[in-house]
Order: sequence, then structure tokens, then C-alpha cells
Amino acid sequence: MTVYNINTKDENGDWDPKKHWTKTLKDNGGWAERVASYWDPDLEEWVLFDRLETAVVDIRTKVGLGDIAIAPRRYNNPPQGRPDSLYQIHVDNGIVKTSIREFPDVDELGWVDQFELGNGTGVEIAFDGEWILYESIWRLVTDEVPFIFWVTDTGKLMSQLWNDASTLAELATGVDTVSAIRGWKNFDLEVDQGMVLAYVKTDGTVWYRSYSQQLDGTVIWETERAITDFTGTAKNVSLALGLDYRFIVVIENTIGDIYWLVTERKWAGMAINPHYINSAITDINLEVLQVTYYASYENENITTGISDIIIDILYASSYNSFIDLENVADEFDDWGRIINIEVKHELFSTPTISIYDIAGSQELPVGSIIMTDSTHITVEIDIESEIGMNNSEDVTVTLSNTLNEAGYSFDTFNETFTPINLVPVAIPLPIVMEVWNE
Amino acid sequence: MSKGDGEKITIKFDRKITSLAIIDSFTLSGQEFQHIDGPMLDVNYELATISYHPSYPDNDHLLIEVAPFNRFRNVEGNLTINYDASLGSLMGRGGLLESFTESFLPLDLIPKLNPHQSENIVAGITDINLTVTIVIYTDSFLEENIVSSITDIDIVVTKIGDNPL
Repeated sequence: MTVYNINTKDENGDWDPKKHWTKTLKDNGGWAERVASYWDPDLEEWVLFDRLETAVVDIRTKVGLGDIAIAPRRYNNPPQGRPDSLYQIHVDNGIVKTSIREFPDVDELGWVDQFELGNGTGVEIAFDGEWILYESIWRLVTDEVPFIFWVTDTGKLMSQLWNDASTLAELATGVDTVSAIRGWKNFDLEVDQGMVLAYVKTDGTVWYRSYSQQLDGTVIWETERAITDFTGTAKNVSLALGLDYRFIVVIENTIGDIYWLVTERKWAGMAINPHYINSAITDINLEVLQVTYYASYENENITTGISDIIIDILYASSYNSFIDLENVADEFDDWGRIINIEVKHELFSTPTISIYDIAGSQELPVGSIIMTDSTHITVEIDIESEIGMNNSEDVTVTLSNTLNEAGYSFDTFNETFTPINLVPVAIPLPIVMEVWNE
Repeated sequence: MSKGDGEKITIKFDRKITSLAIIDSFTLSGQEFQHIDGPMLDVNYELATISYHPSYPDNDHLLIEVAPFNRFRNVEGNLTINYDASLGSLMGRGGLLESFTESFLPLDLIPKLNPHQSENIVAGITDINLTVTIVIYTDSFLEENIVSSITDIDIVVTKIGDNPL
């Protein structure tokens, strides 16, 4: 490994970390990266980082090296983080091969060869993944492994999810070159452009297929479609995403002319900002009444303020629930007759209430229902039931047919509670009163 | 199905039944003539179903139906309904009911004619003796025949068993 020191020392020949960055260009078997370090005066320590060299970089050097494609993986890091590794597929003397390189390559392992896929002429690689919105920017968090595509020496376009041979698929025939990219996708609205694979066939026509989510939620390779807008004879194709949610197909014809085919904007629901409802106070009238001053021993002040402002923010949800359910004693110290209810949201009509004795498998007859306020109700079991809840264990109270603040109906809601201080009453067994035929 | 068909029995209780019992815990019995003017026989009527009576939503009436081919339309006198608490779990809010037996006089029954299976009397001819008398043939110009026939047959029918003739 050759190390080039780009920025070094101060005028005295000493390292001056507070003034200068130290940049080192490492040449590691054909792969170059810039490693930078600087002194952080707050932390009082050296901070190291490296990044991809944005200039010309040798990825792989070898006699007989053919097509090559690289895809960075952002899998372990957060959406705003850098890639954690680089995946590569290339043609080495007619053999399709794969390799992986860590990023950053802390251990300086370089490209680690993985597996071979047989004879081929063209390759492409792309990660599927999930678009995550972070600080107003959509960022692709990739899957763990990429899709790889290669054109066999017989012109078949093959696809495979990295080394998973069970996903091997033949996507097209008579193919020359190929390009792939992960399109826009809105995961909230489930609108998906898919992972798009474009390829030039040996007759110079350009086709594409999309690996995208369908209406039923499944993700499949859609059938191949020809790009008929391009009428020439294509030699190469490349894909790109516009940040305005356009999809770009770049086609080179056989004499080197470049054509850009830019789609209509496919918002895919990703360009929709959150909506907010703002409310403001307007039309305030201030009336000052004439005041007659009389001689006084003290200063008098007139102060006016804004009052009686009513903002009609009404609860319109159909959801409601119980906050409290409890039985209380009546005037005869009988705890089996009265239930006090507190609900979460205000009721604007007297509800229908039913009380079900679970152990007795029966509805208890409801007598009076009194709303002490909009969230508190007192319900009494009718005198028709001689013993009320006294022989019950658990009781289910159900509220229905009542309105919320906006005038809409609440959904029926219920809750079961265990009454306290009940005095069970012996109930006679049923006896036969009469028998007849009919 | 009319009341006269002897198919349904209603039991009224003084309070609600909260849990039904299986039909096998009930028996229904009565008496019927073996045949017209014959002896009285004890009859157990096979029961089919038990349910809350649909006309009484308070669940204090039970409806029992007898099996279709074993109705009590020819019963004489009272019917007796019996509940065996050791076999069933008839329950009110106060607990499991005890065994009980109730008799009642079913009303408006329409008796079924010829309630028994049809009977046939079959007689056969047995022990026939034919006596042939010696005949002397003399010259004759015509062919002669001897003809015999069965006459004056008496058939005696003897009663065997309990069924009437």
C-alpha cells in the first residue's frame, strides 16, 4: 500500500492539527480512497473519517476485465448515514463474478471475491429498499443484499437476489446491455415505480421491466415493455431518477448520439407535504364607551381586553370509552341497584344503557338514567328486579344511541366491572306451576 | 301440528329457567288401551326435544316435543312428566332444580284409529283324504272318466296368543 501525504506540517515542520487537516491518499491495489483526519478542539481528540474519492478511481484492474457495476449498501446505518459496504458484479475474461468491499475499508481487505455466475457479457446491480424521509429528503435504505443482473453469452438476461439461487429468473432474451435503478416508492400510499431494469436488445430496441408492488401487495416482475418513444438503434442504456420525481432513460445510439427520455412526473405520493390547519383570530371589534371623568383622588385606568372568544373546536369522533364504572349504595344501603358512570368524552344526549349480569346470563332491567353532567351518568336498576346486582359477579355496561359534541353518534361501547359490597340473596329454585299439552 | 296430535307439552315454572337440561332427563308416561275394550297398558312416550317456549320470552316456560311416531294422542287419563335431576342440569338463578313429577290431563286429543298393526288370518288345506272305489270296466263304446272333487270343507280357526280374533 502506498500512502501519499497531501497536507502535512506547519511552517516549523510540526503537525498543527488545530489549523490543518491531514489528508492521506492510500493506494490499495487499485482502489483509492481519501482518509482524512482532523483535530476536534472540543473533544480534544483526533477524528478520522474517510469517504469515496470523487475523482477518478480505479475499481479493478485486470487484463480481460469486462463490464462492471457497483451498488452501495445503506443497510446497517440510519437513513442519513453513509453506505456500509459496496457490492460489485463484473465480467472477468468472460466469467461473471461478484465481490464485496466494506465501507469504509477499515481492515483494508479490499474487494473480497464472492461467487461466480458462469459465462456472460454484461452486468448490472441494484438494491431494492425503502425510501425514508429524513429532514425533507428521501433517502434509500437498502435491503440487505442487492439484485444482480447479467447477460449470458447466449443473450439471456438473468436476475438473482445476490447469492440466493432460488430467486434465479430469466427476464429477457436477445439482450445486449442492461441498466437498473430503484425507482421512487411511497410506502405510506403504496405507490411504487418499482426497481426498473432497462436493456438494449441485439436488434437495437430498448425494453424495460419493473419489479414493483402490485395492488394486492405482492411484488412481482411485470412483463417487459418496449420503449417505443426511441425509434433509433440503441447501443447503450442508462437509468436515472430526477429529484422532481421524473424517471430518466438515457439511450446512446450506434453513432454515439445521446437521447434523454424523461417521463412525466410520477409523484408517487412522495411530494406531498404534511398538511396543517391553522386557525387565527380575526374580526375583533373593540368598542370604547364614552367615559365621564369626575374629580377624583386616585388615578383611574380603563383597561380592556379580549374576552368571549369562542373557538368551535368540536369533538367529532365516534370513539368514546369509560373512565370509571362503580356501584354505589342507595338510600337503603343497597349496593346492588345504582351504578355511577364516567365517560371520556362528553355526551350530548342521554344514552341508552344496558346492564348485563354475566353470571346470571341475563339483562338487568334499567330504570332511571340521570346525566349529572355531560360526562357523568347515574343509572339505576329497575325495581322490577328484586335483587338488582346483588347476585352478580361481573356486570357489563353498554352505552349506545348518544351524540358527540359535533352532533354525530358515538359508537356503541361497553365495559365490564365487578361491583363491590354486594349482599347475595338466596333465590328460590323454580317450581312447576302448570303443565299442559298443546 | 294441532293440539289434538299429542305432540307438545308445555311446563310452566314460577320463575326463569337459566339453563336447560338434556331431553333424556325427562320421561313422559301414560296409559292406553291395548285395543278397543282391551286391557290398559303403561306407555312411555319417547321425547325428542326440549327448548324454551318461543311464546314466553321470559324463559319460564319449557316446550317438550315427543318423537313423531310415538305421540300420546290415544292416552287414557293423565299424562305424567318426570324430571330426573341426576340425569339433567335444569337450572334457575337459585341453582339446580330437584327432581319432580307432574301429572296432568291432556285436552282436546284426537284419538288415532286402529292404532295397532293390521292383522291377517291365513288358513291352509291340510289332511285331505281321497278314497278311490274299485271300478269294474265292461265293454263300452265310449271312454269313461272318474271325476272327484273336494266338498264340505270345514276350517277351524283357533285363538293363539293375546291378540283378539
